[in-house]
Amino acid sequence: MTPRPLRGLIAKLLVLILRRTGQLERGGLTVLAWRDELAQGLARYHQAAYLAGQGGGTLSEPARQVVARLVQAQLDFLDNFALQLQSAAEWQKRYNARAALYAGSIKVPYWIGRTRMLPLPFMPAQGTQCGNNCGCAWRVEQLEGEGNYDCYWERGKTDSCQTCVARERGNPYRIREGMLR
Amino acid sequence: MPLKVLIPKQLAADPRRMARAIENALTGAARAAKADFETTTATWEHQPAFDIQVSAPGERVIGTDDRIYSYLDQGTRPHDIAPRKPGGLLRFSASGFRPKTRPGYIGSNKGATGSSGPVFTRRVRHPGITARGFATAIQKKWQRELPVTFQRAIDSEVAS
Amino acid sequence: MTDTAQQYHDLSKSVRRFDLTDRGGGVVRLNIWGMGPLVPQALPPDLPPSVAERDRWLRMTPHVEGLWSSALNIAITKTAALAWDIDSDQPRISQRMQELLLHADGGRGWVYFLSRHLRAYCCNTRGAVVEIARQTRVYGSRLAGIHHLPTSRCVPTGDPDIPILYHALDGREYELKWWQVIHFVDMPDDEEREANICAASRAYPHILKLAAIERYVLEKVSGSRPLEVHIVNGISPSQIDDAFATAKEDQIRQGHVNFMGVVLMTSVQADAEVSGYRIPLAELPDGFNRKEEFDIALLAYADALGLDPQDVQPLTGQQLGAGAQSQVLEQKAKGRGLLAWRQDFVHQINELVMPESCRFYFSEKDIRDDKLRAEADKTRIEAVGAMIEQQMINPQQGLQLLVDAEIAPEEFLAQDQTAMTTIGDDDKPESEADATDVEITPGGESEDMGVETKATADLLDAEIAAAYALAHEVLG
Repeated sequence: MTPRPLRGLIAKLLVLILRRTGQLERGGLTVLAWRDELAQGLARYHQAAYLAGQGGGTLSEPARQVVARLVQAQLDFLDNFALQLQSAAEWQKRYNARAALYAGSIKVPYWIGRTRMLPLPFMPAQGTQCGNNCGCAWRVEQLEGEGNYDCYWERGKTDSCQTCVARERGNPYRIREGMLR
Repeated sequence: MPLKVLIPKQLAADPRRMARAIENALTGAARAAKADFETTTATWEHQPAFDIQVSAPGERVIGTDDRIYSYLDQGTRPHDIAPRKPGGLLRFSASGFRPKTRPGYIGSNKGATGSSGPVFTRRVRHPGITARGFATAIQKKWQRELPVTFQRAIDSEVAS
Repeated sequence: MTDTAQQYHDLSKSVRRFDLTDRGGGVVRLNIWGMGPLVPQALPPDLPPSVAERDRWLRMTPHVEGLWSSALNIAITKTAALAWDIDSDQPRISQRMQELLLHADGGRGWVYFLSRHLRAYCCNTRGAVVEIARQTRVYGSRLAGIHHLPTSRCVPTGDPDIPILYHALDGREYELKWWQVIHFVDMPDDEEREANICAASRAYPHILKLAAIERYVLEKVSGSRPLEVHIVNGISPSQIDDAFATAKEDQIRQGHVNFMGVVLMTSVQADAEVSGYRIPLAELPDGFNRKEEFDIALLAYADALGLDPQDVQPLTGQQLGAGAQSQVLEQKAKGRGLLAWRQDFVHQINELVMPESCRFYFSEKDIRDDKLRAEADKTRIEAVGAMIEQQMINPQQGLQLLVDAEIAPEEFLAQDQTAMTTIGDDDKPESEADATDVEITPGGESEDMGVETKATADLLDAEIAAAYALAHEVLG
C-alpha cells in the first residue's frame, strides 16, 4: 500500500496536472504557459515528497542536489513533450494520459527521503514482479555509531510477489559505517 | 557499456568515497540479483543455494554450483535415460506435465506433474531441456538497473 | 574464422576458463566499468610496503602522468612490433609454433598478448605472468596456447614446483605448476622478499614530480582550488576556513567560472590597516623551468624502460640531453628494462614452450641495424669474392654461402644444398594469414553531467516555501 502522505501528494499533483492539461486542450493555455505551470508543480511536489518521506524537517544541501537532479530529468521529458504538443496538428486523448504519468514521478524523491538516502539495494517497484503495484516498504533502524543501520524490507500485502518474498528473506540488510553488507 | 550517472565534482575527487559508492552499488545489485535467482526456484522441491562472491574490486559474481540448476539454466541436448538399477523400469506420466519455469522468465510457477496414467519403459529418449536462460535474463536486468543503484549509492555518499 | 583460429579461441585448457561463467550453474557477473573517478588525483609520495598495494598504485601511474604513459606506450609498441623468427629443421613443427604464438591470448593475437604482457612487466613489481596452456596438466603434454594472466590475480609462492597461485574470477585459487607458467620479473630481489623493482618503480619519483607539476599548472589555470591567499586587511582564523569553504561553494555554484585560484579576503574591521599580505599555499620553486623538468623526467623514463633516449625524443621535439649523456644512458639502458626482458623472454620461451627442434628469437629491423647489416653483408661478400678468386671455393659454392647468409635470394640457386628452415612471423606458409591488429578496448567513462541548470535551481528556490507547506499538510 502506498503510504498515506505520498498518496496525498500524488493526488494533489495529479489534480493540478489534469486541470492545466484540460485548459491546454480547450485552448485556455498556451503550450509554453502549460509547460511552466507543470514545471512549477513538479519542482514544488518533488521537494514536498522528499520532505514528506523523511517525515518533515528541512531540505539539506545534498538532498536539494538529488531532488534538483530528479526535477531536471522530469523537466527534460516535459520539454520534449511540449515540443511534440507544439507541433501536433490536433489534440489526442493519449496526451492527457501521458501528462498524468508525471504525477507518479514524485514516488522516487519520497522513497529517497524515507530511506534517508541510504545505499539500499533496491526500492519498492524496482525490478519486482508486481511492478507499480508493489506495496512493500523499507523500515530503517538506526543503530549506535555513525553510518550503522539495519534495514528491513517489509511486505505490505499478504500475497506479495516472489521477488518481494525473496527480498524479505534477505532481512536485515545491514549497513555498517556506510557500507552495505 | 558506459554508465550514465551524475557524480558531483567533490565526490569524484575523493577516491575513498568513490570506491565505497561503487562497492555499495555492486553489493546492492548483487543482492537484488540473488533475490531474483531465488525466485526462479521458489516453487521447487530441490532448493539450490545461491551465493555472492567478490571476485575482484569492482566486480561481483552471483551464482550457484548446483548441477540441476545448470541443466535448467543452460539446457541439455537430447539424451537417453535408463534406470539406475540394471533390469529396472522407468516410470513417468505420459501427458499433462507442465514445467515450473519457462525460458526468459525470472520466477517460477506451480507446474504440474501430469494426470494421465503412468507409463513404464526400460529406456526413453529425452528430447532435451530447453534452456531457461535465467542467468542471462537476470544479468541483463541488473546490469541495466546498475546505473540507478549506482546513483543511489553516489547520492548516499554525498549525503553522508 | 579458420580452423586454426577457432582452435586457439578455445580457452578450455587455460586456467582463464575459471574467469568465465562456467561454475556448473547459472552465474551472473556484475561490474562497473569506467573507473575514471577511481583513478586517484594524486599518487602517494611513498609507495606502501605491501606488494599488492604497491602494485596497485604502480598500475595506475600511466593514468595519472601523461608523459610516462606516452613513454611506456613507445616502449611497449616498439617491442611488441619486433619481428621474430623460429628456426627449425622441421617445417611442420615450426609452423605449428608460429601459429601458437600468432594466436596467443585466446586468439587475440601476438601483438595484443605482448602489449598486455609488457605493460604488466613494466608496471608491477610482481612482474608479468604467462600461462602455458596444455592439453592436460601432465608435464610434456601437447601445447594448447599461451596466455597473459593479470598480475593482480597471480600470487608467487616461492615454491619452484608450483610457482604461481592464480585467483580466478570464480573466487577459487588454482595452482600452476612450473611447466604451466613463466614468471617474468624486472630487477628481481636478491633476498627473495619480492622487493623487485619494475620500470614504474624506478621512474616513480619523476612520475610523482611531473604529475604534481601538471596538477599545479592545471589548478592554477582552472582555479579549481585556492593556491594563494591575498589578505587585504586584518583577519581571524575562522574567516580563513570560511573563505576556503565559500570559495569552493562559489565555484561549484557558478559552474565554470574561474578566479585563477586566488582567494581574496577582506576584513570586517573597518579601522584595520591595509596589509596586502600574500600567503602562497602551493607554488613552484624559484628558478623553476618546466621544460627542463620534462626533459629530465623523460630521460629518466627512457632509462627506466631500457629505451634509447632518442625513442622518446618525439615527445619533446628535440634532442634529449647532451650527446654524451644520451650515449651513456643508452649504454646503461642495455642492462635493464625491456632489453633485459628480451633476453629473458627468448630464453624462457625456448626452454618451456618451444620443442627441442625449434628456436625462437627476435629479429630487429631498425634503420641503424640495417646499416650495420649492410656493412656486415659487404664484408661477407668481399670475403666470399676473395675465396672464389683464390679458388678456395667455386662460384656455385660462393653463391650457396651468400644464400645461407640471406644476402642472395634462394631462387638464384638451382637446388638449395643446406637443410635449415626458418619461418618468420610474417610468412604465410599455406594460406593467407589474418592481419593481427592491436585492439585497445577502452573502458566506459562515467559522465559527470554537472549540476542542474540555473533555471531549475531558481525554480526550486521559488517553490521551496510551498513545498514545505504541502509536506506539512500531508504529514498532518
